[in-house]
Amino acid sequence: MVREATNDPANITDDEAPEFLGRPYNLTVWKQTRAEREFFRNDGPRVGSLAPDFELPSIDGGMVSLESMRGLPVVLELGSMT
Amino acid sequence: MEQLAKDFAGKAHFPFMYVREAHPGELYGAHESFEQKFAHAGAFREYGVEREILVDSLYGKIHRQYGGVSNMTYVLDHTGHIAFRAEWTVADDVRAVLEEVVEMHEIRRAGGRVGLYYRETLGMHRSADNPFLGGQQAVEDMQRALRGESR
Repeated sequence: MVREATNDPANITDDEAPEFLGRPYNLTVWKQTRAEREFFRNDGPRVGSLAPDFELPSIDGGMVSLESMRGLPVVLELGSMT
Repeated sequence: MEQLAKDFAGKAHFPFMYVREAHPGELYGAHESFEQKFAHAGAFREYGVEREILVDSLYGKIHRQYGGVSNMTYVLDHTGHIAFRAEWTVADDVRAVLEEVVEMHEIRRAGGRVGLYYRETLGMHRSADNPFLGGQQAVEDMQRALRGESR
């Protein structure tokens, strides 16, 4: 599942995203977003659709892609410490 | 979720994607660099998370693609299609769907037919009294928001 790192996590450049759903993406104070107030308006991919592929660094090293997990079910949790 | 991952070891993948802090505070604040975010992700091991931990970009490129809501869970079938998504992670919900996905896959492999249907559920969960690892600031922010005040 883990492939060789293609680049160092410290060198990954990020897309500019000053706002998301009308608020800074990286919240400094908790406040519900529109998607959280109006759960049915969540713009994420719907059931039945193909999940968007991604490739992200693992804290254990290397890059991991969703594509590499094909063939088994995937339970993808998106969470934070707080 | 850790127990679920152990129960389905070898039968499913369980990546955990670290995204923005939902309730930032003095202990875990808003991310200001990818390096800081990557370092914070390592702390999950101290809280017993043994799953593969992936770190999204500083501005949540993948998180935003997946809706950008805090603590979401998606269950994908063997072909990568979404069988379930929820805006809160409840292990029992995920277990039920996963068992179904695995069972239906076995039926198909044995030559059986599987029908699909759409369903919706408004889930409920009991909130923890003090779930904020962000610190006291995060607790006070939440209390203030629930009173309809802003900061």
